[in-house]
Amino acid sequence: MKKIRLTGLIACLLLVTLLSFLIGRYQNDNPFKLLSSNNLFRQLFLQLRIPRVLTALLIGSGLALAGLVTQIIFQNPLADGGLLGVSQAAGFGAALGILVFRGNSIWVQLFAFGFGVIALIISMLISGRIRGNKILSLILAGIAVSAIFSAGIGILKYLADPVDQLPAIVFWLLGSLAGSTWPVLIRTMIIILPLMIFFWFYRWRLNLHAMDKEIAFSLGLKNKFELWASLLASVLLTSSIISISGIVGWIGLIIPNYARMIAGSDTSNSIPVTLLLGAIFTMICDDLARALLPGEIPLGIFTAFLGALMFIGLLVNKEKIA
Amino acid sequence: MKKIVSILIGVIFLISGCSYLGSSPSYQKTIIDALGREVELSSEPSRIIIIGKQAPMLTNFMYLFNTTDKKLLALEKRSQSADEFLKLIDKNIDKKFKLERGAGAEQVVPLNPDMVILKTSMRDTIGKPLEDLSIPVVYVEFENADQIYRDLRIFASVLNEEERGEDLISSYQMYYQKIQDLLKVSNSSEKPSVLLLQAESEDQKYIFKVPPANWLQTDMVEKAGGIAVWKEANLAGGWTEVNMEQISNWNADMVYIVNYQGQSPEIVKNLKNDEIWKNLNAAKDERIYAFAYDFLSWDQPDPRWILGYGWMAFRQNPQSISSTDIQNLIKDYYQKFFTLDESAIEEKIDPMVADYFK
Repeated sequence: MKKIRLTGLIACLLLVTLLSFLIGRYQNDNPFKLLSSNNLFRQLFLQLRIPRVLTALLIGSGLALAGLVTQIIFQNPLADGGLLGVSQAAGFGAALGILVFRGNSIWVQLFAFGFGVIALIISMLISGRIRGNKILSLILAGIAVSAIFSAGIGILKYLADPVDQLPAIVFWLLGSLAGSTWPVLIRTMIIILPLMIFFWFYRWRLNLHAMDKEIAFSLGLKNKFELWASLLASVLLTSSIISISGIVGWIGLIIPNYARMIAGSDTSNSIPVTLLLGAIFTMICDDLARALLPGEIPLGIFTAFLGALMFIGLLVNKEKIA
Repeated sequence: MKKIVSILIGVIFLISGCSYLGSSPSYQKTIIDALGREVELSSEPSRIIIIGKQAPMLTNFMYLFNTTDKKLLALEKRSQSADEFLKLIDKNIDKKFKLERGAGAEQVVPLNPDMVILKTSMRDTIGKPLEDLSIPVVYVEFENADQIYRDLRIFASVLNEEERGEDLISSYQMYYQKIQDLLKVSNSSEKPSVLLLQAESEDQKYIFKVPPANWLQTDMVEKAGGIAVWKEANLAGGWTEVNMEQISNWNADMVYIVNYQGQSPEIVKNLKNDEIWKNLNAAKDERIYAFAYDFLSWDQPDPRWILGYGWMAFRQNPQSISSTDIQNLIKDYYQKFFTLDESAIEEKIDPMVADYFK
């Protein structure tokens, strides 16, 4: 049964990918024919559409996976990879990059990534000074760090040039894959794939994090080290994706819950389903973002809208979450 | 007794003298601003401040009048600065107060202005606090030709230069009619499809945006004899980002590239070498143009809008309007509107715009 579901999801992914290749603002009745006859369409297809669809696929599966890992570690289905202030800090870093380097994309991405990591370190340092439950103290530290960087974003938005910098910051904070080209896709792959491979091989032991401390220890989990290593990898995955796509919310929160509904809590089943669902969901959202209206719509708007609808669906059927 | 009488006489003289000093020359004026508000003035404004959104453009409009250099009190620092141009027409511009961007009531009030000029959209954030402090605030819009004429009359009334205001409006209308007459003799039966894009450079990539259908840029393209291809998309609310697929789908006959940092020539050069752009009709016909720019871009609600309109008419109808027609218009415009002499125009303006006519 589970194999059939997985095969169905793989077929669905292939279908959505193919459809995404065929959907775009460049209207055409027969794209296959145009590919051979129309040089403009061929360039658009090869240079822009393919890398953008594949980038959506990658960042969607990456964000969903980071969300799943975070939910397992915190044993909380409402956690996501942006916890611990990573999202807001990455947003702050990107806004600072836009302001200081006037939109140089490499610096914007480096700043976003760098500040995401800084937020993680600060959250960990603060939680280290709080007595009591380590997981709870990490979440509380994350809320505080998130608020600080959120205020920082507000200051940068106030300082930004309203003609060119402010719209760039706002658009970036809402997430977009409009700038996806082959070099961006390759950069995304270099960052994301190693972390995804790490979690793939580590998926068996991830199950242990979901158990009580004592049971996990008796099963051989070196709790502290492995906890931090998994958390660090998850946050690195999130902040590196945010550095490329901007803040794209809800994927890391909602997709793992649906993946568990489909595949159960065992990570050897839920990880592949999470990867597939995350990719499908993000590709559909990005198709809408780039093709629904003549103007490019920020990706985060669709992930938030569809994600919230799915969240309502989860709440209505909450007995299935367990 | 004599002493008392002389003291009384002295007091009477003193009182009459004080009452004479206290009465200002009778000045009563009511200005109806762009929001339809009536602003009562009991003295002629001589300490005017322009702040908020598009302050440099509003300042340029005010400098079309003769007494602005004496009456304008402060300038606000904004991203698109008009300062370099204003130095040509006001030698004392550097002596004016400089307000930081985003200046509000707390920065304005200490300067003791007797009039503040704002865009209508700034009323809630800046205007109302100033109104509450009994500082006269006049709101203007300057977003399309009709509003420009109306708001020039408002400025004329504020500055007590009604005659100059009417001169300016009739000059604008005269230029506009002249260009329209040239367009009428055009033999071309088909209007070119036109795409106007604001391009922001980001590393080696560009982000492209189109203006809303109801903005001046869209109106200028159509009045200059073109079809604004983005208009049907009915985008509103400000510049909207469009992707390369949409630009290719429009595949307009002509493309204008606007950049408010003056980098549009460089951007156009790069686009002409881009593999996707090379396949667009506009590139094949060599009709991708950097939008004309001297100290500011000519596409926006600034006194130069008429130059932008004339330049677009020339670009869209080269068979009926020559570059000389528009270059003569530029000379005439700067002489008439900003009272620049011919040598200053040849030295400062002409070199900046020459490349936009090639």
